[in-house]
Amino acid sequence: MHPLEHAVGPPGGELEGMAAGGLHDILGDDSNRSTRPPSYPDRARPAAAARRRGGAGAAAAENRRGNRYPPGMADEDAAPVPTGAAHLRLLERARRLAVEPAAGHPLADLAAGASDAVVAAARGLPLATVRGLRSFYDQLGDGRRACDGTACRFGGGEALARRLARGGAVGTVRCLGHCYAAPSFRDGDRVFARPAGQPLEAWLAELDEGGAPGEAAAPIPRRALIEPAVVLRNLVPGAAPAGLAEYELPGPERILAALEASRLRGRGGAAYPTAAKWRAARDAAGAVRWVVANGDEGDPGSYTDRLLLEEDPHAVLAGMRACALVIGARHGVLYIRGEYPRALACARAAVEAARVAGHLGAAFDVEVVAGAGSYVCGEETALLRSIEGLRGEPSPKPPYPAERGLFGCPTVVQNVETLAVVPWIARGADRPAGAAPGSGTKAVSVSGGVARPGVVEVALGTPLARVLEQGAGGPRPGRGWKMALVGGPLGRVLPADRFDTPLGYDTLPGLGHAGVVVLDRSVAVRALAEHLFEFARAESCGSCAPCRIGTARLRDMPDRPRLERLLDTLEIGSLCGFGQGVPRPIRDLLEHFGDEVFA
Amino acid sequence: MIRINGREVEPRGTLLATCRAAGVELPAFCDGPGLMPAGHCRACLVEVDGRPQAACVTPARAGADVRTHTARLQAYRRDLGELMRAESRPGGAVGRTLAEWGVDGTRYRRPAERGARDASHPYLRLDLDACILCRRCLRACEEIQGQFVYAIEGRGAAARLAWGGAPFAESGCVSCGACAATCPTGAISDADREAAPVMTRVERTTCGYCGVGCQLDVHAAGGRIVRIEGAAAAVNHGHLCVKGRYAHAHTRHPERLTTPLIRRGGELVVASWEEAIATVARELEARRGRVAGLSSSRCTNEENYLFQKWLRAGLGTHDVDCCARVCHAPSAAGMRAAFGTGAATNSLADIERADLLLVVGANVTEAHPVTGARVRRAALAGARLVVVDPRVTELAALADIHLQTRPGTNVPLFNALACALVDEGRIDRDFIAARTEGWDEYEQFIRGETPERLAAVTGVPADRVRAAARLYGDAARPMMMHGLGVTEHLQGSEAVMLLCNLAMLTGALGRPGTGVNPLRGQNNVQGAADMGCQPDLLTGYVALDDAAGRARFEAAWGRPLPEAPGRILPEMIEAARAGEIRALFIFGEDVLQTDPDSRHVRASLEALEFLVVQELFMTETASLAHVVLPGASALEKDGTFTNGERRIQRVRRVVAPPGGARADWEILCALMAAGGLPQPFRHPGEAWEEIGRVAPLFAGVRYERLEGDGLQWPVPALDHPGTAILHTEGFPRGRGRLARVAYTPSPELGGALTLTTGRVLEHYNAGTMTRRSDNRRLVDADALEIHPDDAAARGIAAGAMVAIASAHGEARARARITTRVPAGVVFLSFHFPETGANQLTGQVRDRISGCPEYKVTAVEVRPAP
Repeated sequence: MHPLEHAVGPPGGELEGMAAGGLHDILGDDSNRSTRPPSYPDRARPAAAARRRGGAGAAAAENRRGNRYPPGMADEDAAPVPTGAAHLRLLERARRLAVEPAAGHPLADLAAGASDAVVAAARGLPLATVRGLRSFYDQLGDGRRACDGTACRFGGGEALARRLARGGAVGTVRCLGHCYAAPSFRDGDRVFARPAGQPLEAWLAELDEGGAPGEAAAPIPRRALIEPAVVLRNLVPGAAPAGLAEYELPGPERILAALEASRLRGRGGAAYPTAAKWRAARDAAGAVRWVVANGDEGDPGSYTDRLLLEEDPHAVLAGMRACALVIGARHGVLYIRGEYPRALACARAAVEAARVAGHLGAAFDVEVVAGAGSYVCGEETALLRSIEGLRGEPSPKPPYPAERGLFGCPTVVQNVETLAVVPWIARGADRPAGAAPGSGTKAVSVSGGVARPGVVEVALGTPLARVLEQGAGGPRPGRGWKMALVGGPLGRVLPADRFDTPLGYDTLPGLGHAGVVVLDRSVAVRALAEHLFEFARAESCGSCAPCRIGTARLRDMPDRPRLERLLDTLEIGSLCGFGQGVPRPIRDLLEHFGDEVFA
Repeated sequence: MIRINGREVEPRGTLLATCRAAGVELPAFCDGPGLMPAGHCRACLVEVDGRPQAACVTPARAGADVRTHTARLQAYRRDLGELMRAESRPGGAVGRTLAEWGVDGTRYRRPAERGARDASHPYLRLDLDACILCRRCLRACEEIQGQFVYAIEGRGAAARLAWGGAPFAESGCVSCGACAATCPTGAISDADREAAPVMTRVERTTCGYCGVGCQLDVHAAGGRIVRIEGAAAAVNHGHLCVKGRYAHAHTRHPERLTTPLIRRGGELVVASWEEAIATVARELEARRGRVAGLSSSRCTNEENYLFQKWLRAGLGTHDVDCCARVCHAPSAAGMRAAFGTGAATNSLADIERADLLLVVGANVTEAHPVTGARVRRAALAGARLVVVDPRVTELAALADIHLQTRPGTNVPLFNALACALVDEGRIDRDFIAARTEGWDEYEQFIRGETPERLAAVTGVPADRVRAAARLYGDAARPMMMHGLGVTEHLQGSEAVMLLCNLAMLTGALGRPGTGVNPLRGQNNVQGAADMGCQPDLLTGYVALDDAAGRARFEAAWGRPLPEAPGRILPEMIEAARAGEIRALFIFGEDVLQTDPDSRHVRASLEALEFLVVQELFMTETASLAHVVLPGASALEKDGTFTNGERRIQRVRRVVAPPGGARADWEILCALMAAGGLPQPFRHPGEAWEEIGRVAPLFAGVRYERLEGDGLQWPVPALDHPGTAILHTEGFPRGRGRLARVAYTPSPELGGALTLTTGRVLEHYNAGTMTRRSDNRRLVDADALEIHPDDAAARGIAAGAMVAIASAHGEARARARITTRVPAGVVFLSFHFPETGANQLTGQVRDRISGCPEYKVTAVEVRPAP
């Protein structure tokens, strides 16, 4: 039996009901059913006219359908294509052939407990593909998982994991975004974290006695050290909840002009000029364009995007709509990591509200897609593969998503925080977006050894020390600072005597999404190193050889020359920013703490 | 320009391609022929303006300064190699390269071995301890074969190659071998390679299975074939299928015929070549006027040319035909009637140029696997696909629209499609006006053939017919391919004319990515017809009533030729039974297994006074012969085959025929000499000068011009480059003829079950060759496909032996209960003689060409007693 015989059943065959009715019918589960026809991924199709002989738009359709020498007969000059291209086309084809596209997303199917065979049948995917998909993500399925993010790891996480293990198997999750209330764990879609002020032992004892474990309903602390607040404009004390007002946008040309004037750069870490990216996507050839919001905030220690998605989702959606207006997209995907169940629920509710209010709908609509546990999916090409229903493995660039992104169409992938400030910029083109030219403000997530952890909005260029002292209340009493991990596990390690470093993309390359976990003197350098090694090993996607093999060998390196050799191989050889970035904080550790790394 | 190690060169796509073109070799483990660059292995890292980049996925940008072997890169590569050795034990090319780098596997700790080995498949061996996860196998499967057998399971260091089933033999693999061919480590290997000697001789030749004409690189050692690889040629681009790549064991099978046999006292006994030749020559001469010959589409052009020359000039009869009669004679007849030339109008390469593929009555992925893979790839790359077939074939499952017809209703379906095109105005009026005739009458006729009216006949809903017509009519480059599901019918030739109508109505002819393209079944069925092995046409389609043409032949052959056409194959069978034909020479064909109504055929053969069979094996037919001559397989002789796109390609002798077997052309020359018509040829290549002289289509064909990718006829002159696309300007008959054909239902229709027959991927026709290979371990019997409802109604369990009965005979096979066939239709392959599939088929024939209606037989099925 050929895979496709399973995959694409004949009309009238045994699979027809599945393909047509969608997976929820099979599972008998309509909890996720939206009120409008589900549209993952609502693959828009070029006008039929484009396909007619000599019809207008034929060239565009040609482009979209890849009218070149087909794979397998590739000539020497073939341009690189995204990994999994053949799969993608199979998937696309299966969707096209389905009487009615199946609802939801393969990851949602798997998360909901569907078997590989059922997902394969419903999605038109080969069985092997589904097995590969399932084994890629580590947060599928229920059960308790203790957070092993940096703040939790050094904030009582191990004790929590031990305590949980008494009640049965406990898995691992690498950051739930509750770093300000470490340690934390999840049980299915519920997240629990230590309530502020409660001593660790007391909380653990409560867990032990089976008492109420203290669901982390406490809001994320936030404050702004800049006036007016931009990212947190609707969230700081005294701000009026903006909600649907965020959708009041000027026309596309004015939006683009305002963006250009603001010199906004992507807040996800790459700091690419936003206006230039949008321009490129607008000018790229193709009949269909996509806007993708990257809500895969995977850096342990970062929770700014979670704050925005849970409490100010309309700002993000309005930012997506602004982008859609500029580039001419009718479809958006808001991808949110599965570790943020509440953010997913809030975003979905916001999308519904925006549809009801007419801000989303026929002209531009947004689908919320949930991740399922993979740090690398935060990389934009990996994110796109994940949205497409494939393994979230990065592909080489070029081609950049602006030329060939989601389903091969021009796509803007933009971080949630970036999108959230777009409406503000769009509405006030004459106002500078920040303190220094080309910078703006940044919401910094602070956790670890500070008195008042939380999200602190500052002007880019603000020294870390000021953020910690004025924004986070300084060190916890009696605990001196040793160092801070800035920008997550691919970011930077600053020793306490360098806390005067200004937080900026140019002053601190590797700033990333600007999550800051402050570590006090009780934390051994080797412990942080092992945490970084373990993170790298666990989250490498395995697509390229240096990262797949090398990240698993980091902890074995006995001395500095051997470690540096391996770091160099990872840095220059790896395919994507993950393997290339893994060495960055480790090199800082070597520079500032030398042989303590091997202690 | 771009600078590679200080040298200015022309940028060529990627940096890797540019470096290679500049003669700079880079290690690139995950780069393979025909695969899209992926960037997994990272061994091809180079420095571009000082920045490390993987050459395979980096576009070559003018002005860049590229260094490929700096000290830093060399140190990096060595370290990468050490990492790889810490994960796996690659052999093959990767293993050799790592050794050259001095990698010794000591730098990094090595975790437990993966330990996964699989030997469940007859041809493929998997050993994941050697795997470096370059994914060439996976990408070859997806990008070349269009299958999705492999996947990567797990993440990071736990990632490993996986497949859709365990063991591998149950993975859905179609055994094309592309994964093993591209694997650089030995993690996936061909089973036959394990034992292969190191020193082999390699010969380029043409595959002897189907009409695709794949080019093979055949490795031989010690007089045996040790392995076959796909050649980088126009037809197959290095790809092969389970038959071409693996099923070569028949060449040295112990059952091969190795001496001539003569029947004495009822027994076939060993005889000398001298005696056998003399006997055949004498017995045929004695029955001059009552002699007929059946040539072989499995044999070379030169042999077919000699065969018909012998019958015509030597024995004075046009009673010569070949097995094209039972497959694509209707294509030839129908297309000749419509256009004036009875061959594929376009080339296989057009599959990639088309934006719509209309596949009619052809199970391409099984019967023409390499073309099938090409169609799958094209569909996956975005071309629209419309499939017309009663069964849910692999392509039907992938199609945008599957028109699932009732068997035997092609004529109304094609008319309905044409009607939808005409009444929705999706036609090319300019083309119709300029290039066709009969439009007014045709339009009047076709407007009545509405999809709505005909839906009741075809079983295909009108809206689906109209949707398919829209796709075809709106496509910029719609390409049509058809198979025996069109031809092997009562109205086979007429149905082909109707397909020609569709192309003419939309102007889908004479351009790249268009046309009407019969997928020729046998390796040289095109060539056998081209060479004149048909009773009404001489070599190069010169008609018998073309006096000037005939004169050319008479002059060249030195003998007068009869004026009246001879008998077609079924007429020969009839005439044998009636005693009008007394002696028959059957050349490489097992008519008893492959021709319809076997009982009837047996009676005819038994009525002959003298039957000669030239064969590789003692087939059913050969066992009735008076003289059996042991011939040579395609791997044992020189010559040419012509594939379904009219491409004449070389066949080269790789090994000698076993024992006393001889190359068939040598046997024919000996017979002709004994019969008083000695031939001057010392080598098959010498025949082309004469062929070119008598047949202008081939005037420019010479062996030296066939090196490389051969030539597509017409080749009217020695400096003519061959013809990839026919009818670019006009048709040989002037204007194209729009045929009006009304539907005549087959008398076999109307039974409870309708049987249709065909092939499976793993076997070839009568199975003479594939049954004598390990393909038998993949499929070891014919199976009857039956719908679950039909099975339930008859109390048939899955896998149970069933008896199939028709008005003509009975057959037995195991039941495969599947929705691949609709209720009311059963399907049976005919590869195994014990099945007796052609006991069932009857006497209904194409009204024009005489091709049997294999595709429609009324049957009943019951559990076998």
